[in-house]
Amino acid sequence: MSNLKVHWSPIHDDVFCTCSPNKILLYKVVHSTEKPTQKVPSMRQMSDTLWAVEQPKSIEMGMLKTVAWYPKPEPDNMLAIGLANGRVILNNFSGNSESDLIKKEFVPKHTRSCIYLNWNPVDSHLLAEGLEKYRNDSCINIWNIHHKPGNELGDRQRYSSSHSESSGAIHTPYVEIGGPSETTASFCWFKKEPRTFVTGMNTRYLRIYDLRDCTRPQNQTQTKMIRGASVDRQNEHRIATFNENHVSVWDVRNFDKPMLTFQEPKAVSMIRWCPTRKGYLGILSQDSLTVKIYDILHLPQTVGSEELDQYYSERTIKVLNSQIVSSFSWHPKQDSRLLTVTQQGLLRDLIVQEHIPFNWSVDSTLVTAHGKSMSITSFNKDNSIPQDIAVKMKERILQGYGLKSDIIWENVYAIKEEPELYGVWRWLSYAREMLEYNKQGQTFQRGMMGKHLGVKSILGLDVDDMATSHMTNMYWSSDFYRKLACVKQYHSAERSKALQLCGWGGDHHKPELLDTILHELQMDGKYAIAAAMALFNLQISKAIEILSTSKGQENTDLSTVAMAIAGYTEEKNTLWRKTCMSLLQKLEDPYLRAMFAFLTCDRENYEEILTEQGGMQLSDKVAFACIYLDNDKLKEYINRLTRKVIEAGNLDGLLITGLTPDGVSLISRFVDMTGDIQTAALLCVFSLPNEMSKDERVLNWIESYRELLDRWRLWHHRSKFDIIWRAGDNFRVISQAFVSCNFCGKSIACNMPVASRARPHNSYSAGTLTSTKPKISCCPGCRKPLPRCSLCLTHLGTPSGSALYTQKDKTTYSAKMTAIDDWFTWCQSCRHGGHASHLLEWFAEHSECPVTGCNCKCSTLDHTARLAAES
Amino acid sequence: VKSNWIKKSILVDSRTAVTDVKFAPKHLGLQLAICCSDGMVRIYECPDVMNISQWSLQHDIQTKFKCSCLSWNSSRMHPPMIAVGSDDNNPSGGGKCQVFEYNDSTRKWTKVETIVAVTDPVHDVAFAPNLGRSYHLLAIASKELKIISLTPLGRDSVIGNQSVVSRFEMKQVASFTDHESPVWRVSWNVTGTVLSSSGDDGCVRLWKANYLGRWKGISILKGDASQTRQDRNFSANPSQNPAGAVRYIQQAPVHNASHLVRH
Repeated sequence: MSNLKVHWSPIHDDVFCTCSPNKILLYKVVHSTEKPTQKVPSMRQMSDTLWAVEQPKSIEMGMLKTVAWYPKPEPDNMLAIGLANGRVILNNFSGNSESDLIKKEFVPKHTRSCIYLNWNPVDSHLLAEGLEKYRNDSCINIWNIHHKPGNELGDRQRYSSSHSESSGAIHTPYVEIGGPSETTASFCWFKKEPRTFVTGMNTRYLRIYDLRDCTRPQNQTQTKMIRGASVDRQNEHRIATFNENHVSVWDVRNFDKPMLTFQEPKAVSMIRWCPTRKGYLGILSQDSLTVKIYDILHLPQTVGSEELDQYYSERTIKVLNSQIVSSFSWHPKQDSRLLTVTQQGLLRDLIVQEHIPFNWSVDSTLVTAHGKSMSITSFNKDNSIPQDIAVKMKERILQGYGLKSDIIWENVYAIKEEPELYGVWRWLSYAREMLEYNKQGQTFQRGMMGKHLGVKSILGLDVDDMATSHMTNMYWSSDFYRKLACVKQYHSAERSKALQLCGWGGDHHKPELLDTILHELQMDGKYAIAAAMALFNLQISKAIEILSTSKGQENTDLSTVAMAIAGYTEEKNTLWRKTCMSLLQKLEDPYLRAMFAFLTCDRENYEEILTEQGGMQLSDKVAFACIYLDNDKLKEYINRLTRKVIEAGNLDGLLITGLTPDGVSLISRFVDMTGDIQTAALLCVFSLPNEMSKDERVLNWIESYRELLDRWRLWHHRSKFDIIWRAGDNFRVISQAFVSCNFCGKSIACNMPVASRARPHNSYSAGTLTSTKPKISCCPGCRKPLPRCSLCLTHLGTPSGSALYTQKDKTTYSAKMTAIDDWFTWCQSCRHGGHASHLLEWFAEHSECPVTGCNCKCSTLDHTARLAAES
Repeated sequence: VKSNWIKKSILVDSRTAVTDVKFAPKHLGLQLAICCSDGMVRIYECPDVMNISQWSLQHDIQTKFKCSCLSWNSSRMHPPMIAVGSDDNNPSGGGKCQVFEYNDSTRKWTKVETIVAVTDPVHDVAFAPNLGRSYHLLAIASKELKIISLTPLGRDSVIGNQSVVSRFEMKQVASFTDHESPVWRVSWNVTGTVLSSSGDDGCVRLWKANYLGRWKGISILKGDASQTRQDRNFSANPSQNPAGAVRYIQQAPVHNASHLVRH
């Protein structure tokens, strides 16, 4: 089996044959879904999805040396078989001779082994045969297969007679090439000039012959690289040959020396140009496990004296693990498809992959190119892949995330599926509320005005200036049936503020506020949280009420807890305590656990609640700490928590830090982990004004987010974002574009105050619109008129942005604005223009400039208008 | 709408093959970096964006290896930065990827890092879009796919010479051999959170980090599955489909196609 060869059929896409020295087998390729169900031994796997089915027909023959497949469809699957005695037999697999060519034999004058057979690709009746050296005979015979036996003269005569002499052998070749005792090693026809061929001869010549003049070679070069001559069908100037472990590529136009020579580690056994992919040269070395492919982009070129490099790259194609490749064949039609056979007879059908170029669009679609096809894959709504932040951010902004500046909490409606972001928006909206409240009251102290504060700054922890708080012994609400001992709580104005920020109402003098909050939580179905909050505010019967009235799936759990709490007793080592402990193990809700922890723990020590990891919101823990910890402990706890949230990049932590340097570090960590630049930028903008607004990182986030919106072409969204940003930052944007006068070159807007100063101010407010019109249609600097509208021929000019509109009575939004219809606009190319409304009317029906004699196609030059038209 | 492209400028300084060309990120203006196989990296600038036929050579950097690819870092916050890869086959030449940074005070590009972990030929490099992160991610396509993170550590001043060199903490965050063949191309999505790579195995693979920063393959796109093979049979007929013609196959619908056009 070691000398196994493989050949694709030149006609059928799914047929190939394998040749061993005494047998030729025909195979048909089938897809694994179509393969015959019964297990036949004559079926072999070629690739993951393809199988080769051995056809029942085969050719068995001794002394088989070489095989060449007839390149025409008729007769079907005809092979020329060269034997060790030099005979050539035409045969097909069916054995029935519907064509007279089948079983035809061509016999050389002297018996010697056949080296190669090669059909002419165009004049397919010509078959070249290479023979071993003989004293007084030529080494290359070219047979005409239509020759009639005995009729040695009729070269081009078609054998049309109806009677067949299949046994009759032909002895005289059409042409003989090469003198006595010359040798030949390889042969290949050219296709573009089908009467010419290249052959390696006499171990040192590569010769090109033309059949029209066979006496001498048309071209020759002296080289040892004479084996395996192969013409590149994609570029017939190129010939590849090899000898031992060298492979050369020649250009027939410059035949003196090889253009390229590759050195292989081992002796080469075959080379083949890929017929479908330009520049692929497949090389098989002896005892090799792989097929090597050189991708020759171009032959070396010289520019001036310098040689251009980078003209080829090499690839190694692994075939099968630890199996020596015996032969390979390029598919004649399909791109870069390679069939290989190993010495053990295993087949492998491969595609030599091109380098796949690809690129991402900003919309998370990936374009890839495979050979001649291109494909687009979108990752927007692919459920098999976890949704990427890029897709998420785009979806959020389209839902209006970050565009609701009036009621900040509304922004979370766009991120319904991401509750982990709720906390920070809750802080922002409470902080904003507090800000508004302070503005009205103007009562808050110490430079905290106008800032979105964190708990830390409210408590004065960041400046180490903590206001004293007084300890109070609070009684449990009296409606509980049992009398309970007091609980220590701490109060101060700052702590109340902090509680307010945490959403706990804060003011213990206003219990109705707490009731509202509890009611809201119950409406949201958060019974456990509501109950816990009630309990921590010492309203034990309220808590029990909430738990027992709960509706929902886990309400059995909740009512059990309600009962348990109802039996609360302060005595230690009671049965109640023990039962609670065992119940505690079963509870999963962190708030229910916290309630028991609160009831059962020693007063003064609330570590269990404060360091809970399960799922209590940070705001609730902070609020709890603000009630029950004294100043030192609170300070220590808040500082510890700050470090923790920064490390974890937990956005909820902004509640504590606010937008301070700590807060920015926290957001930075969040961005590092999630890539969510959107939320980062929004937080920075919504918490304006703040001390960090000039921080490099903050500006970077904002700019990066704006750029992202621009790249998504969400320009309107970006503008809205800019408005929110600038409104918060008290930043005045200076004018960037001016309209200048044709005559004096000054801006027609910035001189307006001068013009208005020339006349007393009140004359405008008293005057009618007609009286101001002449003024706005000329340059305020030089008093020359502005250009005319090319359609209505009146002078242009609007009072927009000028001092003419400082009248006190026109304070409403719409009255302050000049109608956009009156604004002037012009084509950047031909400089003709007019009133916006007139131009819009004109270009609705025309594409050319309205000015007579101007051929400018103004409207087609407008890129954005073009895009709009496309949609 | 048919659009025509007009040649506006030819840059002729290179004497050897130009192996990669990349525009600078937008905030650096209209700049262009090219690299050549003789080891030169050139940076051109077009000072007037309204006249793109005028390009001036601003810098040339000698990398001392055969360059194959380059990538700009898109960070706004950090000095301009370029990574250059080399496809030199000689493994003894040391690291095959270098990182250069522009120094504003000396007005020069200086080498700040050589990635010594990569000694195989590099076919492609790509900086992830930075998008506000405090560190840079660099994907390197070599024998395997590598992702390197570069965290700026501030600057090292050298007294007397006035040169200031940024220093980085360099970490290899991932290395994948799933392609089982050389990796040819790498590319990041718009946020730098998904990386795609292609290799000789005919697959495009997608990679993503989880919340702990651990990178994992999330998807494989096989361009050459049976589906495409049928296409091949179809396109094999040269009369129907001239060789070289690109065929467009839409495998998945483009979502939100309408929003692309807003004005």
